Parts: sequence; C-alpha cells; structure tokens
Amino acid sequence: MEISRRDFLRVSGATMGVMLFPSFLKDAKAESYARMLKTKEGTESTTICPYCACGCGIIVTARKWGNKVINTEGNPDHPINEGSLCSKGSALYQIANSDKRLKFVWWRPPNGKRWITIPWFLALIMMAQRIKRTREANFTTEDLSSGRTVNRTEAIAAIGGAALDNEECHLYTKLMRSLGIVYLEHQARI
Amino acid sequence: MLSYNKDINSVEEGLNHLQGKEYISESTVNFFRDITRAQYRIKSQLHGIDISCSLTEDEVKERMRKGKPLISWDNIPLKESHLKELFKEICKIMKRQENSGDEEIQRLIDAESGEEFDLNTLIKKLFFHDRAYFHSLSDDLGVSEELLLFVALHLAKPFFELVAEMLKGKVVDNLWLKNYCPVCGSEAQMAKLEREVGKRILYCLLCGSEWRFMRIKCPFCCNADHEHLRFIEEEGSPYRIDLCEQCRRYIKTLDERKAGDSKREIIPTVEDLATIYLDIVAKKEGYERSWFFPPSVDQLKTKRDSKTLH
Repeated sequence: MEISRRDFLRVSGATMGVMLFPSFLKDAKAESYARMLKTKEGTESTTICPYCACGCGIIVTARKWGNKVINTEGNPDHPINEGSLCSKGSALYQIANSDKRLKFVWWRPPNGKRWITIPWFLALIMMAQRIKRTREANFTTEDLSSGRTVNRTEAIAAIGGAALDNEECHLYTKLMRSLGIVYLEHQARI
Repeated sequence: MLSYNKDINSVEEGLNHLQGKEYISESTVNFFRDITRAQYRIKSQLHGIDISCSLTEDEVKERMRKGKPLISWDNIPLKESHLKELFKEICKIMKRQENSGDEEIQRLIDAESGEEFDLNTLIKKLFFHDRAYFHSLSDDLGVSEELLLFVALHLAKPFFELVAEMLKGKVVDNLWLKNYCPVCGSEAQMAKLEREVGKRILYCLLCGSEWRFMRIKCPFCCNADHEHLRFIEEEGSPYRIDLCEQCRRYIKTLDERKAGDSKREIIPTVEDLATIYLDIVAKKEGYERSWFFPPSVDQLKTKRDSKTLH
C-alpha cells in the first residue's frame, strides 16, 4: 500500500505528539503548569488604513469571543508599508477603542435649541424614513433631455467619513448606488 | 535568510536559564543538555570534513526560484563511525531518563550491533520520509515507532546543521516565502515575530535555518483564511500558539516585541524546550504539532504548484 507523506505525518504526529519532547518522557512540572495556565484567544485579520491614499496594510487583532479590537499594527507583508505606519495610522486602534468616541446619536429636534441623545434604533428609523421619503419624491427613471434610463435621485448626497476603511467604503458605496444616489463623496485625503 | 545555529556555550547558557523554573523539570533540561552536548561533540569532529556542496550563486537562486530546498542526500556528510558514536550516546542518555523504556532501548542497541538495521539507512529513510520503513522496522525490532523516529531525528540533526551552516549566506531571503525550510525542506517547528515590525520568521529545528513567512497564513497547509486561523496566548508572556482550524496543526510563536529585554538571545531549540507546557495545552485542544520530515522533490513540486504561490 502506498502511503502519502500526509498520511505519514498524520499517523506519526498522532502517535508522537511533541517531537522534541516525545510522549515516553513525562514532565510533571510542565503538565501542572499547563493546567494552571491562564490563556486568551485572539484572531488576526488584515485591513487597509483609512486615513490617506497611500493604502498602508494593517493587521487588526481581536479577541476571539466578543470581537473586541485589542491591537492594530502595520502589516509587515504588505508591499506598500512593509510593517511601518505613520503617527495617524499607528493611532488607528483608537477608532475602535477611545473614551472620546461618541457612544450615542445626538439629535436636535426641529426648531429645538438643545441637542439630545437618542438610541441607535430610533436614529436608524428616522434616517430610513427621511431617505425613503426624499428618494420617492425625487426619483428619476429617465433623463429628461436625452431620454436615457438613469434610475437616480439627485436630492440626496452621501459623504463618507475619513475613518471608514476599505471594506466599509465598499459596503457604503454599494448601499448608496443601490439607492440611486449619484452625489457620492468620501473624505479621503493625503 | 540566516542560520541561527549557536555555539554550545550559548545553548548551555539558555538551558541554564531554564533550571529551577516552575514550568519545566530539571531532569528534562538535563536530558536535552546531554543530547545537545553529544550532538555538538560529533559536529566538532565533522568540521574538518569536506562537504560536497558546490552550488554556485546562480544555481542557488535557480533552485530557490523553483522552490527546491538546497540540501540533497549526497551533501549530507554521514560517516558510519560518527553515527554509531552518537547513537550509543543518545541511547545511553535515554536509558538514564526515567520512564523512557529501558527494555526497548536495549532492544534497539542490540538490533543495531546485531546489524538488523543500519544507521545510515535510518537517516536516509528519514530524509526520504519512508514511513513504511519505520513502520516495519518498529514491528521487526519490537520498539515503538516513536522511539525510532526520536533517535533518527536527533541522530540526523548535527549533520543537517553542518550543511546548513555551510550554505549560510548563499540563500536569498526574498526568493523564499515557502512553508518549508529552504535548506532541508522540513516543516517549521517554531516561529517568532521579530522586534522591529513584527515580521514572521520560521525556524527549522532540524538544520537550524530560519526564513521569512507571511503573518496571516498557516505554515503547514497554507490556509490564508483568517476566519480559520487563531491564536492562544499566555497572559503576560511573549509566547503564543498559532492554530489552524483547517489542518488542525499548530506552531509555537515567540513575540519578540513582548519579550522585553532587547538583548535577549533567541535560541529556538531552547525556546521550544521552555514551552513544553504550550504543547500540552495545544494537544488538549486537539491540535497536532508540526513535523520535521523533509518532503520529497515531487511532493515539493505539488506543494509549490498548488499552495505556496504568493
């Protein structure tokens, strides 16, 4: 029977466990230390820095459970920055973790003089209602002068934020285009 | 690419640091100290030997471009007398160790002296990863396959290291981002994230080479889907275990940036020994450790074609 290298590795790996420390040697100290060990799990994924047009690569480390960002660093395998980051890129961690981040939506009611905080679900409902109302009132299927099909609304404009990263911009653009919004801008800068 | 092989004094110093630690027994440290000393003794005898490895710079580049490791069977300076000497030493050291199975070791010694197998063939079969040979030899001799492989790997180590040291300086780092050792073709055994920008360096503990590899990629199956890669880190320590959910294997990693002292010398074999408890943790989680065996040229070709293109 022909045995592939993979089979060999699987069988020998399973029987041997650790090579440098094979199973016929026991280390009671290491075993008891392993039992008491406090560990944390994490995952790493890549993204692109949102701040300027250079497009530096970043590795984001998050806790496996809870998806909390615990670190951001330059990606050493990215051809543009090879692991280095400017001062703004280095501070990217603060987008996810900062005491100065707004935690609620601030809203000033019509004719009101004061800002009040409202929960996210309410803000989203209010935004959706406004978008729907404006879009339906101003949607054009055909360009009046040329007669071409356009399916757009010129009554809404979208401005992306400087802290939106590559993936967020992608989703944001898709959403806006699907609504027929043509005035689409992003605050990218060098 | 560099060869990280250190002189015996550095290794001894590294092992001395492990004495009295709560995570490793003194007997384990002494066991590996004795094996290392025996290996270095043989290595020092080998230094005068002429090793036939006359690859020119262009040939090295060509081999690397094709994903072929530089070492070939003919390059390994095996000498029967050295092998026998080291074999006897390793068996003697193992016999001194508790729970290592005196009877089995004695059977192995008797079989070797009775010429039931020869050490040169053992290393050759290891180099060409002939599992069937180890399997049948284990049955024939009545010793465990694990013991046979352990002896074979520690026998081969000084010879592989010597060839790797000779090739040091000929290897161009940016031509090699593969998941196997550029010198002997073995899989990586340890990794580090280097201090400056966190580049991932893989270590081959068989020949003592180190090479660069991608951060978000499994060094065994080349899975680059971050959803199936994760790590377990020890709280307040520079060590972590990188796990691949796809092939269920792991590699221990030292993050130099968390290691504190910038002058700390990293000796992968010592780091490996110092983190036996992480192997226990990974094994409990159901992961297997990487393996030494250098894949054959055909398998490397398949690997190169299917997985290791960047």
